[in-house]
Amino acid sequence: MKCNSQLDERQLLQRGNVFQHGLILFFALLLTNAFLKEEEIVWAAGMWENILIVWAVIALCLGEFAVREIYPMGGGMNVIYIVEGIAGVFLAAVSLFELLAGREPFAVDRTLTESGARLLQGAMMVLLLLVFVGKKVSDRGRRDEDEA
Amino acid sequence: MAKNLLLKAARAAKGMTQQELADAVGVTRQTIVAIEKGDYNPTVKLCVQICRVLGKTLNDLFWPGDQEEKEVSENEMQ
Repeated sequence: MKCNSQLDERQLLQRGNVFQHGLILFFALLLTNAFLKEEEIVWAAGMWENILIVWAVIALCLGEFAVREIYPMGGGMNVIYIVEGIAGVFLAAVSLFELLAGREPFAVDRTLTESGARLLQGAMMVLLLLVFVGKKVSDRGRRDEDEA
Repeated sequence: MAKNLLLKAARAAKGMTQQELADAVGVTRQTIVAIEKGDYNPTVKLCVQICRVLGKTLNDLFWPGDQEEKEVSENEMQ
């Protein structure tokens, strides 16, 4: 597989750890959601419960990839971080506008509305971009430190 | 895990940067950094590749020194 050839043995090991963390979080969130459903607690409107759970797992995995400098898709990963970050900014901005304009509240009866959930998703996407950029910036100059 | 100063010294003696060694053995610079810092235990395959590039034996670079052996045996005792 192409992605295997781009990662060395240490990165492959770390990639496995990242997927493991993602899987553990996914099961934990699914179980929590199932428990809440059993108690008839709805924390987000419509499909947003599931969408936010999936996004939380994606955010964790992509965030860890950025922090550990593992890019399974090579240079294409940079584009993914930037594009999803920009999309997140737009998503969060639109949701924030709707909330501030009073079209829809953030939550109704302790349940996230569509705008509230979209704002959370946008925030996760922006956070990923910030982690990616922060890691790149912090790595500048580290090369000389490592060589010493 | 203890730092691998032997590897660092051998690389420096050869006049190679971490990036050059990494390129020569087909890994990332971060992996060489992790090996030198003792954060990552490389496979035998990678150890052999590094030894070939640096012109050393496995004993020269990856066999624990006296101090490290002492630490290992102390840990085993505990």
